Amino acid sequence: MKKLICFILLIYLTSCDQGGGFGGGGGAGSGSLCTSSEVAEIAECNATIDSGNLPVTVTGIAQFFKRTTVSQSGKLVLGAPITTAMPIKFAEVRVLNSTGTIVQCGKTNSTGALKAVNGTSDLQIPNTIGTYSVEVLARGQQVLPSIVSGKPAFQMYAAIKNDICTNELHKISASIVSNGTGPINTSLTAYARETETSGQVQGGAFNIFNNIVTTYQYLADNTGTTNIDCLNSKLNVYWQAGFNPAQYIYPAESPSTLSNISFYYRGYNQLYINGGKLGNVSTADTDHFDDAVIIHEIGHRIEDVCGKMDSPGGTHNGLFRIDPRLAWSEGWGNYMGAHIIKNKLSNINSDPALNTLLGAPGWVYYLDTKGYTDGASGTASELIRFDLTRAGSNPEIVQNNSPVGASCGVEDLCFDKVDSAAHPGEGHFREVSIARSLFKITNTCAAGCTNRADYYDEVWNSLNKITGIGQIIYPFRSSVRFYKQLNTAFGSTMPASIDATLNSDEAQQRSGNSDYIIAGNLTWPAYGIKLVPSNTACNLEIRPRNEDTAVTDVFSDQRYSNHFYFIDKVTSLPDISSLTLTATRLAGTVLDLDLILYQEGYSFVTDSAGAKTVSSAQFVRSARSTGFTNKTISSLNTLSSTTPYILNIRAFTTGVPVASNTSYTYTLTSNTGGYLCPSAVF
Amino acid sequence: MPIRSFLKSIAIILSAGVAVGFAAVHFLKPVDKNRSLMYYSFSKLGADQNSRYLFDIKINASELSQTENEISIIKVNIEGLKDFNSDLIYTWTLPQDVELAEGALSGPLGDFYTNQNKEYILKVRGFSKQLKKFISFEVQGEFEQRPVRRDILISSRLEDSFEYSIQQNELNNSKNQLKNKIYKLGDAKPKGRFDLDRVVR
Repeated sequence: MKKLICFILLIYLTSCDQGGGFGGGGGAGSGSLCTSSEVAEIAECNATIDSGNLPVTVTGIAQFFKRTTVSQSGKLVLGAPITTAMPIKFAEVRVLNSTGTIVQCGKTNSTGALKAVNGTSDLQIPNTIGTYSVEVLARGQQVLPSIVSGKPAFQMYAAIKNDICTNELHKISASIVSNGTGPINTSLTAYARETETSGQVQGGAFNIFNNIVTTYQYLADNTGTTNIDCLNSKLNVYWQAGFNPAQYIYPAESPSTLSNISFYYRGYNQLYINGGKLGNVSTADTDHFDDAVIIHEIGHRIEDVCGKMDSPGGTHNGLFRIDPRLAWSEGWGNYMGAHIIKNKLSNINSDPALNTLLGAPGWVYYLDTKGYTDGASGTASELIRFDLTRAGSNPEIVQNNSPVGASCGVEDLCFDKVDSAAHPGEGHFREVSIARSLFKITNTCAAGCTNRADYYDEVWNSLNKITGIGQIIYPFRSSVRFYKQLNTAFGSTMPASIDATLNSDEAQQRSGNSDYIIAGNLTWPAYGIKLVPSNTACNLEIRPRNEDTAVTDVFSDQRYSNHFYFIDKVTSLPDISSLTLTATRLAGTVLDLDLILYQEGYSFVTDSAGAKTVSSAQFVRSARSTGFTNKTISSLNTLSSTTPYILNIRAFTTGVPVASNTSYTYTLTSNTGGYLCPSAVF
Repeated sequence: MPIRSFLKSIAIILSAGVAVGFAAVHFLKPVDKNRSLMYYSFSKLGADQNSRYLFDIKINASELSQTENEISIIKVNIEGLKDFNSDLIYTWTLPQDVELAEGALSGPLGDFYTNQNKEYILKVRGFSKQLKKFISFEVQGEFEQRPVRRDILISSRLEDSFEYSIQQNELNNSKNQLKNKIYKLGDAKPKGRFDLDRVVR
């Protein structure tokens, strides 16, 4: 018997730890992913070293090549490298003697010229005869100037490293020989082809670095006098040619079958850029020359440090209505990826042929490619492309065989096609729609697209944590909150052109829009609007729907089958201890209507294939019993007064065929018997 | 009982426990036919995501030759996650200097039912441990008017990649954790470095 007990115990012990394992690891150390201890990044070389009498001046230019974008059978793909190299701006420079001792530090200036650490004086080394190595590192710290007078200073500070284990910086180097007199001229070039770089493709690292510099330069000139020193902290980027950083997230998974991704690691100032797979950069999906993807990730970092990122993360692909917090964050990233390239194209890609290819509108795309075409080598394809000037009702087709400009037909699956009249507000749940609206607002595209710096300035003011939705008073951030804030930024007089885009084009009607009122009932309360006590009932109506016929088993439609209300215990509902939902079916399918309470930072818990999720660690409170009855959540008096909560009214629809006319009116009442209604002020 | 026999019994029990424990976990693990989206690893493409509702792809133990002249056998396994009848097509893409010895380079994926496994095998010459080369296997088409696309990449020298280094290190760490656990009941779960909630792509 003892043996049997031991045996059973051992089975238990060997089985209880399967799976999982992402319990709050963190980006601060290499953890268990490296075969040996993590190596610290080399110290910065940012102080002038005395070169003694009669120093020798070193001159030269640092530059990089990148693969440009070309057309292939109507698609946009990566082609051969640009023919004229681009400058490596604001990068750290080190000069080492033959024993490896650093004899001077410097940096490149805005034209890529080698300079002293102040960026303007000559780079000088001692007059000792010998061989030296000049290195340009993909790391830099530079106060960026602005064309706007009175703007507080801020800096670009970033490093592009090979991996999380060695923290080795990408660099290029050149050998110089000094006979004790100068100047000595040299040039340093980072190339884009594997064959020119022993597979290292340093041009990729410096292209990522250049994308950061260029994005920050745009922000310097287009955010008015607003202080943007939120960007000052160091941004660490990890990229390696031929390496898929998804392996960091799923270390035990088969590298061959893992999908390639780039990502931002929230809260840690870390970007991970996709460099290929298993050493392959010629046919695999890579992102180091996909500027829109890189800047998309930079956009996440900007939102994280200058605003407030509420995105729960997770799967998104521009096909379905998703969590509005995720849609907002991804929409912002998509938009930044296209908008910065559009308005800084010559700084991003100097290829003159690209201008010809793009024509009058210029760059208006979010683009993600795979492989490249370059003579006989490589195989190129287009993975994701959408034109942000397209109408919400006619976006680009997802199918791989659609040429640029093809119309979205009735049966086609397109990137977040919206219908402002039939589905008001659905754009708030669609990332590509959000990207399009932001792009259309900040670019005037009537005759070719031009930057609207004045509107971008207000977009920034509506995003940031000083005056925008990044402020702590606005939990559960989404585009509907953003556009409310943008209206405030315009003095509560939203320009008509912006409202036209939101109301008639992208189905992102603002909170309170009359399109949400049907027969006197409010059918869509703005996501995260506050619940407040009311003496009278408010006319609330939910119109549940199946999200999508092909994947009905998976999604609960957050636009139609769910309503969300911010529960603010401090200012609005200090005495609440219970909350009751009472619903009346007006028409259609009989469904369960339930209550779920989440707290800030929640992951939306969906249902699946006829199986209701009745308990979850994400649920702070829930009432999800079977049947269409009144539902009550209680013990609300024990909730934290400092935590924002969100109440989810959920119609259980997954796996249930829902008639297209289904609708319910409902009321919410508190323990006092009084009504709870959405606040008049969002 | 002499101490030697007692220790021997304990050792046998421990060994058997480990072996049966692994097997039991494998067999007792519930087959989740309604995997939620969060189950899947991140992917960027809608077409890729669509594929993950339908099937899973794994590389079976392939037999790679040591020299370019010998024949290598590449095996890919597809498991149906739901019943589906589609016009999906699979395609192998070989490098120019890799010669097909046996098997079809493309063909219909065919019908699947839940938990059904099918193996797709290719025999090639010029794909060996001697030189690093890549073969891709792609499934593409439409299912219920949705684009479906999924591809995998097979390297002849997987062991040279940084991904492989991370994977092996992880598997070794997990193994060690498990080994230690038999003797240390208080061990914490092995932790990965990345918190999925912080990954924003």
